[in-house]
Amino acid sequence: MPAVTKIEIRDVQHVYQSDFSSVPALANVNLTVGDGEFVALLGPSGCGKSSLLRIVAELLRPTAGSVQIYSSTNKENGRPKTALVFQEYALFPWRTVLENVVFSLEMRGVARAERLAQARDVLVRVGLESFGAAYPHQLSGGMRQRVGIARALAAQPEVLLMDEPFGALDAQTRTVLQEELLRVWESERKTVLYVTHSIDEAVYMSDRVVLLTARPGRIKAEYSVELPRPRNMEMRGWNSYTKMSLDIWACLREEVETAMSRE
Amino acid sequence: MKHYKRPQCNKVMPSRTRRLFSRELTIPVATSLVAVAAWEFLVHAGFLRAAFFPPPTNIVSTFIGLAVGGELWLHAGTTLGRLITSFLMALIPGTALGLAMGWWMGMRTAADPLVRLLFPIPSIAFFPVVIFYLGLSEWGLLLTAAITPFLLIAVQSASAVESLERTLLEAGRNYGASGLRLFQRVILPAALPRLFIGYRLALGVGLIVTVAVEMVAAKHGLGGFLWHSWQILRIEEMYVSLMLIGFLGILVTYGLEALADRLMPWQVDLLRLKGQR
Amino acid sequence: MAHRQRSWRAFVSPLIILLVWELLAAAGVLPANYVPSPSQLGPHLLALLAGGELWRHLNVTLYRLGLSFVFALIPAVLLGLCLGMSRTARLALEPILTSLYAIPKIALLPLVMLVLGVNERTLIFTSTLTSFVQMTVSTMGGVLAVDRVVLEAGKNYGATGWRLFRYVLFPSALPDIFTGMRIGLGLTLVLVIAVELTAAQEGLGAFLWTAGQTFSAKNLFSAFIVIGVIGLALTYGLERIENWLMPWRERSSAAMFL
Repeated sequence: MPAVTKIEIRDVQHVYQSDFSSVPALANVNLTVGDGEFVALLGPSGCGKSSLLRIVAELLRPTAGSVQIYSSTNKENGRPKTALVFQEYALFPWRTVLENVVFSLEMRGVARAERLAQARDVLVRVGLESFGAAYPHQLSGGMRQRVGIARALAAQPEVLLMDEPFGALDAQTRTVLQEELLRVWESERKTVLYVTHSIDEAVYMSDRVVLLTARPGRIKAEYSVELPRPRNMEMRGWNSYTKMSLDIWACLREEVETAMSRE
Repeated sequence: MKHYKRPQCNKVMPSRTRRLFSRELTIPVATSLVAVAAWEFLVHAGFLRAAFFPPPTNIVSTFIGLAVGGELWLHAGTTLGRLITSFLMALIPGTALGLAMGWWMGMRTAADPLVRLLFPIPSIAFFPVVIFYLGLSEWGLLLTAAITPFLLIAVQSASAVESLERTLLEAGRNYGASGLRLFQRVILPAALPRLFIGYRLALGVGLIVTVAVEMVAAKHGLGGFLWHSWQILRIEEMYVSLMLIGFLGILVTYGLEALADRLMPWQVDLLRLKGQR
Repeated sequence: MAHRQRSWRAFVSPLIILLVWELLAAAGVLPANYVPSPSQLGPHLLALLAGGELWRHLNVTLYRLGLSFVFALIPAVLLGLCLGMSRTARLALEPILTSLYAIPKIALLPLVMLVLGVNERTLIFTSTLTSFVQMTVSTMGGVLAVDRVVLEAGKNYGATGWRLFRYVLFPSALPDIFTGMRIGLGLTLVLVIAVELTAAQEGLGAFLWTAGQTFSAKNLFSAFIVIGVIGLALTYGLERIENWLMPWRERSSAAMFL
């Protein structure tokens, strides 16, 4: 594992304040992620994992604590710190697939020919090269998320943030896309923070599974996933895989029950 | 690596000729023709009073006469001009106010109560108040026809911003858009469909008020022409102006739809599938 | 908690406007006989109402509105339901319905006056027509918008024929039917007032117009306020009724003319 720190989350707390209530979402989260590490954030519903992701994406300012993302080249290169892939895809319906993928490059001011070329390359990587002119509503859910992933990759972020990206898809599409995401990831080995509530997904995809407690979320446990890369379907049948999944569930279960009893 | 085939969008729509002869077109056309023919027949047979219901053929010839004479286009053009002008007078401030209301809480608290207080007031009731101060003038007419549409547009525009998907904004911000660019590239396109709903409503109200005011107080314009024809008992001319008013309404609605399709090309397929185009 | 805060806020800006208005009038910036101040207007309006004249006009307008609405309601809903359920009927009547829908009903007034004469009957006929056309179109739209899946579920769980209509289709279409009523009332009120403006002796529209003609700013504003209140009462009152009657749907907003 590379020892270079990429993300440092220090003493992050977050409280949602409204006129009539304050809801603590995160309490004292401390996490370090290494360069090129694939970290899964696992936890029960409402544990604040999506909030944590948005804090890392600088879309939300934490009530306390800080997040530092270190650039790999230590100089200003215009690359954005993060790129988010959303569960609901969040594609711009008024833009074609190609126009969606090109968005961050357009915002950064990359020249037209250059950014279109880059976008097309990324589309090839996700297998959608012939869909550049289609609109999101013409695509299936799985294809839309590919576009979402393409958009994130095209942005060339330091860190890739994924918020339950396959949560809205059926199980079969999800399995296929998990493998494809890993395949695409292998070539670049970006640092990834991956939020999920599926243990199987967390173990299958990541190098490290970080378990969060029920609200207010804090880190309960971390598990190092020792499976070799590239991952494949068979590993799901391995003993070590099963044992780790069961361990995690034993630990996660009480958090889930706590969260459910609150509703 | 699995590669996908292009989605077969064109398989959903039948060919053009097929659509021409579908029930969607033939039944309405057939009933219209039958109705007109029956009207013609009933008048000639004496069952319908020609004084009240002149035969369609007379109406058509009157129309042709007026059309050639040119007077008709003056009236139609005047009404159309008033409609479009008052619509624009409502659209620009209305959209601006509505977007501001949707985006800034302060604006919302300030303007929302006023807007909600004023828009249910029957649009025509503004007319006597407006002309009390501006006299019976063109501006008076235009202003009256613009008030309620302005309010309607403001309400819908505010709603458009409020109902924006939060994740779209997050995606926009996360991928580098902020401030003015966030507005231009994300907020505005996302709000457009909803904005157009407000525009459609506003146009409907605008037509009603324009025609009503023309009937009450104008010399030119289809409403005025209609009223005048009634006063001098030129019945065929009444029918012609009535037809043109209806036609104007339909024309303007289609114009708006065409504009909407132009500005929102991504929706066209979707609307077609839903049967709204 | 939120409700209380929100409804309190709702009065702030109108009150501020009233205050500014009053101050401007008191300072002499606004010509007194052209723009009455709120403090003059209030008592004047109350006097008019107490005197009975304004009440009479108000009653006449409301009577016309109510009568037209009641006449139109059942036939319009019935027709709308039929058109929604039968594609052939819908296509057959489409031309006449679309034309009537597109034409502002006030434009039909001269024709109706021709046939029925210049009298109360004509006014009621035209305003009934206004309500009728709107409610038919809205009802029809409501039926057409019923989700196929909901009907399938109904059939699957044993509701067929009449029961499918009564227990599934009709409740599904109800929200749109109510929207139609709301819009219909609004449009009819506009029509009634528009006609009253120049062609009637009685009614709020007539009173409003006369006030303008006789340069009585106070009467003008008083009439305007009364008309406004009716509009507000109809719109928001109906919104309340809708939300109470049909709690299962999303909160209706008066601006949802969809």
